[in-house]
Amino acid sequence: MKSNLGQLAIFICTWLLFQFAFSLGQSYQNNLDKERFIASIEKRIALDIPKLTLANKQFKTAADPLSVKAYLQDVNLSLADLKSPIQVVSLQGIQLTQASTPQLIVRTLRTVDQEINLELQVLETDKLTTLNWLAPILALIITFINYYLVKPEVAIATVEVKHEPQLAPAQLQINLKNKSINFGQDNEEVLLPNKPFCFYAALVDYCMHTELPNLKHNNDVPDELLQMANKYFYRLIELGHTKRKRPDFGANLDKTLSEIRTALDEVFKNNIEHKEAFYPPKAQGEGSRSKMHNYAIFNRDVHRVEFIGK
Amino acid sequence: MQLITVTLNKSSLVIILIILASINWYLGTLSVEKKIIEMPNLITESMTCLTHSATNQQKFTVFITDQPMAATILETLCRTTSINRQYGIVEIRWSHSEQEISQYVGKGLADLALVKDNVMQAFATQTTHGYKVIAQYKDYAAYFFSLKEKPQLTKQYLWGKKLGLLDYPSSRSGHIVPRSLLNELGIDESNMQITYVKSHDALRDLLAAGKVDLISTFWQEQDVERFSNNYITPLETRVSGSKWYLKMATENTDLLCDLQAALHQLSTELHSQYYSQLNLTQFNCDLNGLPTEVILDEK
Repeated sequence: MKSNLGQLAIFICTWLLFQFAFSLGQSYQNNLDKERFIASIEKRIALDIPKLTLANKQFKTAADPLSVKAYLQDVNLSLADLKSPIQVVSLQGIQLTQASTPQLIVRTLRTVDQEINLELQVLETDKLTTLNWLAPILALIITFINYYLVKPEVAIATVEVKHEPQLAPAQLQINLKNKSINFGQDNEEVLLPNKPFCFYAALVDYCMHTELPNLKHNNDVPDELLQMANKYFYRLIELGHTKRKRPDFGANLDKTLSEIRTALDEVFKNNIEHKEAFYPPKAQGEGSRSKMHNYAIFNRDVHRVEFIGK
Repeated sequence: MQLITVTLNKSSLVIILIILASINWYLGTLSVEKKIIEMPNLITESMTCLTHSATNQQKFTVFITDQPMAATILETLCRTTSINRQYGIVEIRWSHSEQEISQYVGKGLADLALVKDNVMQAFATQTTHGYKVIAQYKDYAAYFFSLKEKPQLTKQYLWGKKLGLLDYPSSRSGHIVPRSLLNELGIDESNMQITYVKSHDALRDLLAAGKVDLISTFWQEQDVERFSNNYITPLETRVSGSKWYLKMATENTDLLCDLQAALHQLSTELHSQYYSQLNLTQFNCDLNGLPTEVILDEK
């Protein structure tokens, strides 16, 4: 929460800043006016020099102080009419008045044959600056903005936000073309022998398309599963992977499942969290070979499995 | 990928602050009263008056060297019958500058001019522009004035003296006559300390202040108050006075006679010993109204 004292300090500082800027503008304009007056005086006197009776050493001419003083008096009267802060003090040594300020402005006009010195004085010191009524109003606005609108500073100017693409869930790829299993894109393909490969492909296929697969060790492997395994084997033959005799997929089930699990351990080494969906469960504890153990896999989502070369 | 820009609010506040401060600065410059700083011309060297011939654009130009008499001359001339009849405007100009004098009479710009005859002779104005003398002021004498002794016109006396002269090379009593004397006596300017001033009054002030030993000028009645007439020595007793020249492009005798009458009237109005002693050149003018003391010179 911003403190009231702090806001008051901001208001006063801002007011002073605006008043200072205002005074600076006035001072600048006053100085500019002085310079313009000096330039105007120089111009006037330069134009009138041929008419003024000033001394000229080259021509041994004498000055006429009376007429020059009368002229300078006219100049000062004219300057007073123009509200000039500058007055002429002397011209070429002919002094009209005593300077009221110690610091005189000395200018030199150069003609073809001589230099004419002009002394000027500033009649008044700079006026005290006038108060700017707009300054407190603007200071109030700034204080208001600071209090209500300015939030604590954010450290970074630009935040780069990456929107991760909505990736499809990783798939288990069962590639019949090279007898490999792969999960996702980061892992290497794991090759399997014909029997475990075909049985696993059939197991996955069977479990996805069977409502409540009941695959227990104490029961025979369902014909449907065996047919699927045979089908995948024949496909391997078609793809030229083997010419051997079709294996008996119902025999040595434990060994087959063990080979499958070993291969899956390798496949899911980097994606352990996904492994369960595609992993034929192991028998747990004692009596694992009991009637209750079901080695069916749990995945029912056909989109998570891709058969290549099926 | 998408970029989301988050602006720094405090930075924005600082920018607003700077902008508002700049506006205040600008308002400060505007708050100062705007002044007209163009100084007008301050030197006046002419006066004009309009005659009764309002539709007449002809201008009658008068040139003189003495400004104080300008207004009186102008007033007098604007009442003159022939000028009212023949001209629409009367302009009187004055200047001490010998350059301007030579321009006005040398080029025939002035219809009537009060100048010294040596200037007119230099430009042969009688033949070039037909200027004629219609009146002249009385000849006078040029003197060396001293404060404490009667000046001597010898080389021994004048050698090393501090001399006050007039700055105008055309001035006879204040410049030509004394310089001629020094030349005749073989005194080089480097053997004297010459101080130049711009007027006869200034010369008198120089002598009275003891800044010079001698001055060259003419004698006037009021000089007895400051100087002794025993301590003046005449350099030349017959210095020609200034003359009124009228440009007679045509035989405009009416104008000539009216101007003579006007100048005579002027000599009575000007309270000056010098300007009151006017001699009119004799023409075939009916000057019956003039008082007896007016001297008519031969043409």
